[in-house]
Amino acid sequence: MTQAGEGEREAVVTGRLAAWTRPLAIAGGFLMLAAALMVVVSVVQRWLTNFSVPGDIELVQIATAISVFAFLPLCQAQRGNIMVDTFTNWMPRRLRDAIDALWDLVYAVATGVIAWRLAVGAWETVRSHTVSMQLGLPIGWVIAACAIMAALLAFVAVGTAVQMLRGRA
Amino acid sequence: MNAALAAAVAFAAMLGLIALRMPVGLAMLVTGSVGYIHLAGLPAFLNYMKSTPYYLFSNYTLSVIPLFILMGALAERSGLSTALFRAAAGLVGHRRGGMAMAVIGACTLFGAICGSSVATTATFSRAALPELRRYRYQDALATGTVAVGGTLGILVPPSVILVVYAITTEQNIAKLFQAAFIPGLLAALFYCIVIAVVVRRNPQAGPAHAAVPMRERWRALAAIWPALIIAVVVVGGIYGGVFTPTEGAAVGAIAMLVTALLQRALDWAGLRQALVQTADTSAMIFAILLGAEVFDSFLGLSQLPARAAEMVAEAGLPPYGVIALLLVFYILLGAVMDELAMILLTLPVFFPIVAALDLGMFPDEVAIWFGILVLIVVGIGLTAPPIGLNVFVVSSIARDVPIVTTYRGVLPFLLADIIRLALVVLFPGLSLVVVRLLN
Repeated sequence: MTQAGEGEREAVVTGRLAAWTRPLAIAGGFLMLAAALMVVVSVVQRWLTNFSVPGDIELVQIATAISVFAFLPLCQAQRGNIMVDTFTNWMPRRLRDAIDALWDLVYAVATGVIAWRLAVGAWETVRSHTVSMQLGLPIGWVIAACAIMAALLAFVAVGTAVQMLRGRA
Repeated sequence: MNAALAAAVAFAAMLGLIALRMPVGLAMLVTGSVGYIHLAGLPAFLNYMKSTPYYLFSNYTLSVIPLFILMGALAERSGLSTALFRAAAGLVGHRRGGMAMAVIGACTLFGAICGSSVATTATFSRAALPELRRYRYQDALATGTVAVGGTLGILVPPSVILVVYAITTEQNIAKLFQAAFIPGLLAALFYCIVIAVVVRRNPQAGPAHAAVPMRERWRALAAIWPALIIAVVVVGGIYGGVFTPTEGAAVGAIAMLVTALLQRALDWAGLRQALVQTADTSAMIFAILLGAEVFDSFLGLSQLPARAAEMVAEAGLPPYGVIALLLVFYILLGAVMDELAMILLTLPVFFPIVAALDLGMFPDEVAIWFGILVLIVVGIGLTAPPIGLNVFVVSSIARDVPIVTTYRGVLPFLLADIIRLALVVLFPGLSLVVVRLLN
């Protein structure tokens, strides 16, 4: 398996896709940092008073799900997904790019389906007024946010396919 | 078509797609989905997909992965790797091969604050390679040592690979971390012995030089206290059950951020870089985890893993023979495949087989011991030719060293790895004694 070398990947992520996948991923990173900070407060508070921050586990779960969905478009824009190029290195560059573009389109369909199903799941969760166990947070809206980012991911995958077909300049 | 046959066909199709450059996570997702629909029907699949991606990514246990990656990304930029290397180099660097041993020592400590081998390799390629060259170490020994030292990032707990193993096989992460302790130190010891042997046979590979003055040695040692404290708090806290692995990772990440900010090693651009790196690596892992989740659900429906375990149990093979076969298979597969994908692909089938073997140990001890064996073969796969991720990372930073040279440097270490693997197979106590002591 390989990922492209660091220098090569930086080059891919320039252009329009980089313009918003990067800030989205960084926002997700800050959310993860915020969750970590909350956990530290919770651990210290438990140590001092025997009581954690209420709902700390729930908050970590929600933050992780949102962050990971925020991370995925960047990973696709950088073509960071793990693939094996051992058996196809003999192929001409154009052919390899065409195959990669095809898989990007398959990825777009797959993540499109995921976005659609998550949206349905979010709608049902919102309608049934399902809330988180401890804090009573409306989980449906969290799933909806994930559905939107999954749709963005599908969009990015189409974008990288187009990039591939045009040939990486 | 019966279900187990369908699973076998899906496995073959998935490997074919992977060979045709399809990203590993996507290949698992696609073949798993098709198989799921074939066995359970489209409505059941659509219903399954409504909640699975969200509930998988919001799994509390999994949240430890981005947190450990964040901690490693911050550690990479905190200057701690340089401090650790200087301190170790001050102690032993002047001896023959000593600078290479210093890399191993520094990687061992860094491994206790970083759960990723790629991050460890990258940071020490930058921190240590220029120094090794300044002291005229030959390229093969220098780059080989850094590539192998990088595996200590996962061999020494915390370890992202062990987290993934724990989640896939439903084992206790803290116990796995405990079990990795002695084998991790053993790895560092063996690597130092290899370096000693290499420089004995070829003194030019790692020449001796004048020692640094005592005062500077003390200063270098004094500079590593933040790393020591973070390592002891995070690993000790998880071992002692003071906090969960997720909490340990969060404490470590924040402690690392504060350290880096206090030492003025991290500016705004560096923080953004660390977050982007965390995003990229985490997304890469979670994309595979999602594919593996769907594929595993399909495998579960097909009952192939249970059948395979039955077949192996009924075949009456010697239990240790089965373990040996699985490990050889892992070493061969790991040489050509990504290690994370490898364990996620194979564990759903292999783990029930191992769990059904009569090895004369308690079942949960077998699970933990096998986890450490998997960890060791993953470490081997990270450096073994032709596809060793750590070697690629070193090459991407030391661009003037041919990749073949690095592989040549890695080879003697691989021999030590095989010996260590055999020791942990033959003496399960090496991994289990710490678990037994602490529980």
